[in-house]
This record gives sequence, C-alpha cells and structure tokens, in this order.
Amino acid sequence: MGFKLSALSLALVGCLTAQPAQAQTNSTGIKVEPGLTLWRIAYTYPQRGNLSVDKMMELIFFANPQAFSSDDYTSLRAGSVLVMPQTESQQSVASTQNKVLEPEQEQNPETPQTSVTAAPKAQPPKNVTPVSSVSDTTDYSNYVFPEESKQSALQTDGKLALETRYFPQDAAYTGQSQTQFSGSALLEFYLPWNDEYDGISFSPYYRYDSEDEERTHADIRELKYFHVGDSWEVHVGIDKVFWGVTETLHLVDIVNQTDFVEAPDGEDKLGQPMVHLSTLHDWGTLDFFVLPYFRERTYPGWEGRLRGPLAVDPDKVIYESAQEQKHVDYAMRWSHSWNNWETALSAFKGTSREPQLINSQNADGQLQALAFYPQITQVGIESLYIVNSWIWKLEAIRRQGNLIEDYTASDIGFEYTFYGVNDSVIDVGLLMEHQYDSRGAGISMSQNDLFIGTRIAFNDVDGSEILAGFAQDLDYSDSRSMLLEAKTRLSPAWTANLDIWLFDGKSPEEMSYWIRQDDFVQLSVEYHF
Amino acid sequence: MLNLKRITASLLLVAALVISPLSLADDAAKGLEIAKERKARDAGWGSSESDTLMVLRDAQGNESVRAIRAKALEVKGDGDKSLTVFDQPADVKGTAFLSFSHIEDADEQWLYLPAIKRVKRISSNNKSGPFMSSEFAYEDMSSFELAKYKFNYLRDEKLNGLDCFVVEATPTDRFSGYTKIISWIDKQHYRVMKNEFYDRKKALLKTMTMSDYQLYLDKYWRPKRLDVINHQTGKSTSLIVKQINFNVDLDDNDFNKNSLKRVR
Repeated sequence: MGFKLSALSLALVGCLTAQPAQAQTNSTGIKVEPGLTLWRIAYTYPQRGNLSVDKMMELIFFANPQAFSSDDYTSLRAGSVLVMPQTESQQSVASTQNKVLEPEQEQNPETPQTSVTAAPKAQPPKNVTPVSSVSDTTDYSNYVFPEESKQSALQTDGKLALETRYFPQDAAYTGQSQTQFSGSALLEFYLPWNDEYDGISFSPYYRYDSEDEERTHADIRELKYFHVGDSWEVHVGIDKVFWGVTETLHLVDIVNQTDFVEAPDGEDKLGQPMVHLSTLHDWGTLDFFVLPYFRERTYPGWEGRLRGPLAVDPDKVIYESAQEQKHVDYAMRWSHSWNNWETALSAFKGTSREPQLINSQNADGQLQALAFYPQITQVGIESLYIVNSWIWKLEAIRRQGNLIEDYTASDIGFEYTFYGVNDSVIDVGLLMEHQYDSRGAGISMSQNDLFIGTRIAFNDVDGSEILAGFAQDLDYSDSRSMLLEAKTRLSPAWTANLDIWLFDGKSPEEMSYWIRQDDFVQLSVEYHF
Repeated sequence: MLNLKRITASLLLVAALVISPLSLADDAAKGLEIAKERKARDAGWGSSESDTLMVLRDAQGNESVRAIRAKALEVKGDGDKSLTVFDQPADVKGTAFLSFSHIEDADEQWLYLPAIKRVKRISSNNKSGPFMSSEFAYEDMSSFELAKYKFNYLRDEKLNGLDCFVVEATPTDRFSGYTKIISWIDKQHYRVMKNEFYDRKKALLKTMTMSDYQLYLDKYWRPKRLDVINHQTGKSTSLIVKQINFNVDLDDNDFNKNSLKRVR
C-alpha cells in the first residue's frame, strides 16, 4: 500500500466507531464546535490516509462550501456540519497494522484517489480533540537537499537588499540630505572538492547609494582557496575573520578593515588578503596570519550623514610606512576553551586599521580630513565565563606605536538570559557592558560609557528578534546613543529589518557631538537565495 | 457489613503502606534496568551523518520547512558531540550549531553566524527552549544519558500491537522543562516508540511518536520519523530523516570551532 497510517490512529478509529453517536445532525459529518479549525479537523481526521493535511483541507473545503462564510479556509462557521469526503484509504485500514515495524515501502503508483462527489461514508470523529499520534503523512521524499544537489559542484547563494534611511533632523553640515535609498547585492560561490577538504569560495559585494557616492562601492568579501589537513588548515586569499566575545565594541578584532559606510556599528568588514594557518593542539588553537596588503577604511562622503564636520578624502591617504598599502602585517592568536571558560590572546604588528584624522586644505583651499595610518603593535585578550544563564565577557587591548599616543581600552560586561519568560517560548536577555578608552572623549566615543540593553528572541517560526539598548557617557551626562534593531522573516526567502539609531551629544569636546543631528530610521528588506 | 468493609479497607491500606515502599524500590530498579538496557543496546554506533527535514506547523496548519544536516560522534564515557548545519530557510543558511553533551556538567554549545563569521558561545541553560522554533526542545535533541534522569517502571502495555514497557523518567537537572517523561519502550528491541512530556506544572505538554524504525549496522535502530504535538498550543513538528549513514570518517577534529566555521 502506498500510504501510511500510524497504528495508534487505528486505535482511535476503533474508539470512534465503538462510541455511540453524539448529538450531531448528520451522522456522517462533523459538527464544527466553536474554536475548531479546518486544519485541526483535517489533521485529526482518522481516514486521511496518506493525504497531506493541506490536501485534506482542500477536499473538505470544496465539499462544504456552505460551511464557509467566505472563500477562505479560516472562515469556517461554527455550528455547521461538515460532510467528510471519502478517501480510499479507509478501506485498507486493517492492513496497516504494525506499519511502524515494516521498512519503508515503495510509493504505489496507484496512489489512492479521493472522490469528493461520492456519498460520504466516512466515520465521523466524535470529538476532534488533539490526537497525539496522528502523523501528518505528507510525502517529503521529493525534497532535494542542498547537500545532494551540490555534490562537489558549484554552490551559489546570495542576498539582495533594498534599504531606506530617514533622518528626521536637519543636517548638521551642508550637502547632507534627509532621505537615503540604497540597494546591495552579495553573491557567494562555493566550489569544494576532495570531500570538502579543499575548496574555493568567492563573494563579491556591491552597494549603490542614492545620496552618498562614497557609500556606493564594491568589494570582494572573499576570494580564497582552503585546504584542511588532519589537525591544521590553511586559507589563502581574500577572507574575513572575526575575533572577540563582547557585543557592543569589537576591540581585539583587527584583521579586517571596517567597512564603515555600511553601518555605524562597524560590524561590516572589507575583505582582507591573507595567508592564514590554523593549527589545533590539546592546549588550544593557534592562528597565524600574514597580511600582505592593506585596506583603507571607508568613510561617508560630503553628501553622507554620520560623519564629522569634514569628509575624509578617499584619494589622499597618508601612511607612516613607506611601503604604504604594501606593508606586510602579521598577526597571531591563541585561543582555548575549558568547560565554562574561553580565553584568547592575540598580537598584531603592522598598519593600524584605525586611522587618525587630520584636517588639511586641498589645492582649492577647501578644508578636508585626511586619514593617517600609523604603524602599531597591539596585544589583546578575550575572555568569557559561562555559568547557568550568565555569560561574563571581557575584551581588552593595549596599543602602542611611535606616532600614536599609547593607550589601553576595554569592554567588560555580561549577558543574562531569562529563558521562556512567563511560560512562553520567548527568551529575554539583559546586556550590560562598560566601555573604556584611556585616550579620552576627544578621540574615542567609548572612553567611559555604559551600555544597557535587551535582546528578545521570540523563537517564532519567523525567527523574530529585537535588540535594543542605550549607551550613556559617564563623563558627559548629555551624551548618549540609543539603538533598536528588529528583524523578522516575511516568507521563506524574504526578511525585513528595522534599525533605529538616536544620538544625543551636546558637548562639542565629545565625539558624538559630530553626529548629534544624525538620528535615523532604517528599513530594509532582504531576499535570500 | 459496613464495619467489615471498613476493616478490610484499613487492612488493605496498612498492607499497601507496608508493601508499597518495597514495590516502589522494585519499580525504580526495574525502570533503571530498562533504561540501562536501552542505553547498552545503542552503545557503539561510533559516528553518523544525516540529512533531516523539519516541518513546523502552527495551530492553523500553516507549514514551514527547515532542512538540516547533522554529524554526530559518540564519546566514550561522556555525552555525544554533534554539529548541525541549517540549510533552510535561506536567511539562516550556513548557520551551524556545535554541541558537546556532558553527563555531569552543563553541555557546551556554540553557534556560528556566517554573515559576520562569528562563533558565539551560547548558554546551554535554555534546555527547555525550542530548537529552531520547533516543538522539539534543545533537551530533546541531546543524547540520552542515564545520569540525567531517575527512572521508574510503571507497567507493561501494548502499543500498536507491540509489547512495551512503560517507564517514567524524572529529569535530575533543575533546568529541564519537564517534570516527567513517560516512555513506551518495546520489549524486544528497547526502542522508544512514544514519549509523553509533562511540563513544570505537571500538565501534559506534548507527545512524541517515533515511527518507521530502521535497522543500521545490524544493531542500531533509528526512527526515520518523529512527530511531536504540543497539546497546549496545537503546534506540531515532524522530523523526517531523509538519510542517515553510520561508520562515517569523523573524529574529534570534525567537532571544534574551526570545523564549525568551515561548514557550508
């Protein structure tokens, strides 16, 4: 037989036939009690056989137009009596005993046909309560896994996004506009071989922006070859790596340059050319990096918001090293985790990813900012301790150089999560992080700031999440920023994101004064494939 | 007559009081024996790789499909290791989940977020939380360990024509979302055919049925289909194992943060 029916539902059939008829006007139908849905009726209908719930719903719907107030499955009228369409599977119920023990059977080409027109002979379920053991028997055997379809062939994925930003306040600097539209595309090509012990990946990225020509840009996020050995692996080419444990600042994360025009949180990164060797040991993981080419940070242009009084000249860049972008940088990191502890130590020597901005006059006498990239040495520590619902996090760096003020910076905090609040499936996390930078407020926006926030995971089918919080400057009481990030899935392929950033900075000697007029709301929709 | 009844009743009560501690202990011992045998029959499977579909249904019957691939490694003397990759829906494609179950300590879990290439340690305290917003909780997905429960044999019962032991398991972990799990375990092969889960308020929360059991390596039974229905919300989830292979070439090196970052 080409259908399956779990044996327990057979027991139910037995119960139902044995019970005396209830107060139903039609002995072959189901009376719709208030609160009963079409889905539940279809789902629990013992004679559904191998029909999918959807198909069963369709059959009931078409057999009972009188029971629906509109052309919609959800418009089932309470009190109406449904004529249950006959499915042929009813006739073969007896032969499905012990089905669970038999190996999966071939799909019979003569799949039981359903006849809607035939006089209803179905046994009426008495009282359609949730039946635990009635399985949905939808045939998913035709589903092709991405894994199967790829079979060492080229795999292509991507993301297209449309985004709009609105800045409600007047611009602080001339030339800036209040609305901004943008579109971006990220493609990901992946070609593995040798059972994925070797492979190539390629991810080009492009963004178009309606206002800011500096934000319209292209990048190669990834173009690399990798090989995986027994307890080592090597990645050669343009790649992206992430270091760090904290949420609000990413102090130790130094390998990739920030793609700052993307978002003010600095989490978007430019592809970095590298040779990366990773070795595994009992005492931890060692990562070595040779970085032969430097990427300059992206900055908003004159038309762009979220910048200082002067736009940064993208064409005139100053380096401490005479080798400029060809200076070879080195980095290494040791990381290890014990049960509840994770720690990493890292070191970097080379061109600072963070430039100093210098005001200068160009040939036309116009003032502009120039980016100066000094040579630095940085050591960093990351640590994380997890106990029950607490996660304690720490990141700290020490950065030194001949042409910079040596400094220390840290980000220390925790995340505590309430799982399943009020017996729901919603998780609510509380976050607190303290940010410190010894250089002070004139250079760093996080010299002595406290971030307090919450992360709400709805754990719904659309993967909805909200992150909200604010950072208060503890030295300048009138300086703070707030953010809200919300995302949800609109369909299997589409997602929507809402981002709100508010900046409050009234002290000109403090850096957030620059962006005091740049509150914005951003709405974006993304298509994933 | 009435007096006689009362006397008989009190005698019975006394008898019950005297006998029941013994029989309770017997039931606990028998429950543990059954659980041990169940565990023993499943020992030695080594490693596996599987492709699975997860079909989520809300109370209205709207379906949502997730595709996951998983690698699992048996760890002698401790809980298993597993690495799960999400292929669907498209926006979470490449997101991966690494889990080390432990018998005594809390499980260790990491999530890989491919967009920012970040491996994030996550708390394993969300045992009762939904796995991928399904009706399976994280604790339903972790390996079966004797030390995680206290057992009690309840009765023998036929389920779908199969002779089964009915055993009650009480989680010892205070972070478990269940007060008890009642399992129907078939007497011949010690396979779990059905589980009933009771929530923290001791109300029936959900029922899980395993079906389409297949025999692998001539020794290990695995269901190709698991169905969970949540009686309190009307939501349900079907887990359909499309393919599972044993004796795959996997070792510890396939279950670390580097391999987590590599999965596609």
